[in-house]
Amino acid sequence: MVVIVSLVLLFFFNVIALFISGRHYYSPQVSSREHSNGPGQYFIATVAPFQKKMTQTIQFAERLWTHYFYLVSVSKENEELKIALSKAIEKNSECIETEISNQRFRNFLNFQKTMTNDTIAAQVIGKDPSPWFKSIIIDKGFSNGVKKGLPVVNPEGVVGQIIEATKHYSKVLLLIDRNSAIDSLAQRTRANGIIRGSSEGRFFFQYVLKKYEIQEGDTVISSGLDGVFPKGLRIGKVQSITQKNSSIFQEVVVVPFVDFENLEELMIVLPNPEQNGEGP
Amino acid sequence: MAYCFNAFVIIAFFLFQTSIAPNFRLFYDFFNLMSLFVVYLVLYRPNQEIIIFVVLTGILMDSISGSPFGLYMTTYIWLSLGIKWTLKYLHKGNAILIPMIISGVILAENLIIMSVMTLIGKNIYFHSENFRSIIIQLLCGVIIGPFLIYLIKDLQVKWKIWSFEKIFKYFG
Repeated sequence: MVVIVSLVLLFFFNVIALFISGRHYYSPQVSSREHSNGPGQYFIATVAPFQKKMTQTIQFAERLWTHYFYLVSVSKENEELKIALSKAIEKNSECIETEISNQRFRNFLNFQKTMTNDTIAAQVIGKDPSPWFKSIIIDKGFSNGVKKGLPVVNPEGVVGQIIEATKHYSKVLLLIDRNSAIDSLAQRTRANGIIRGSSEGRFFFQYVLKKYEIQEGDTVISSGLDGVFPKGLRIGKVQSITQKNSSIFQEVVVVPFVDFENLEELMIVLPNPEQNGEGP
Repeated sequence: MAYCFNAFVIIAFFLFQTSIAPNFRLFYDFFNLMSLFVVYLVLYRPNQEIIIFVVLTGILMDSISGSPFGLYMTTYIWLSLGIKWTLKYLHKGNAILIPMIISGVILAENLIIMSVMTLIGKNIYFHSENFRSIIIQLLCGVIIGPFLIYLIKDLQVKWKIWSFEKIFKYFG
């Protein structure tokens, strides 16, 4: 009986104490104080620095962990993106190259259609190692029907002449070589002369009589009189004309239409079968 | 083995000059690497090797370039004879010797070609543009040539050691 009464009293005492304590803790007068005066303050002051350090450490570890994984994933993603980018660049470059080649081949085919003679398409595989001579090696030889002396052209104009043919490869002497010459015509005035290669990558249109009025920009074409190059193939554009009193000829400098530094695909013009039959 | 190495150098120079260099404007007036190879042969190789490879190099150049056949072969033969003769009077270990020989060879090669082409009726070879090209060739030759010669020499030694090791290993 005594125990029960004691417990009931303790319960009521506890409730009253909690009530007083609660009222005191949340009363506006107490909250407005700058710091607490209770015993809890000492515990807090003792434990809090450790808590702080521990929390900071955990947060640091947590950040390190997340950042590490983040960086790893970013680095991985970066690698993947780099690979994807390089593949895209490569693909893009391939597309551009294909587009350019496509355009070149279209021009080539269109030009081939305009040719009355049969032609063989060839690719440049090497250039002259000597700075003194201008020749190229192409990937077609006598097994493909190529013979010494055949003219070589591309859509821009006359390129040169076969000077040597092996079974699978041939050597072409370019028109800009100093040893090259082609009988030519000024398209507008029909002035006849000989186009000769020079060291500066231009042509000299030689033996053009003064009576012909050649103008800058006039187109020079092959005359067909040399028996090698078909008539009407474009050669170049007149750049300058010099007339000397001492000579009966004009000095004409011609800029080639063909870009001899960037030759890639060429056409070897085969003789007409009728011409072949008539030949010696 | 030395023959294989020489053939390899010729092919490397040849491919560089005909397929790589023409694609870069920087090398348009570059000196002829084959003449550099001739210099290397005469300076460091025995006579038998010199004769064989000078003729081979000349034939290769004559076959590939647009020159009249025999022009480069005769040029290289005369150049090798000239270098041999010069070496009688000069100390071989002198540092200035190689740049001097290279510049002499480049100059002589160009002069021989110009003279021969003029002799056969192509007198348009003496032109200011050509002299500009020769000067550039000379500069390139004097600056790069000695390094290339030392490189070939060094590679030749390494090749020799490597090939002997392989042979000894193969035959136990």
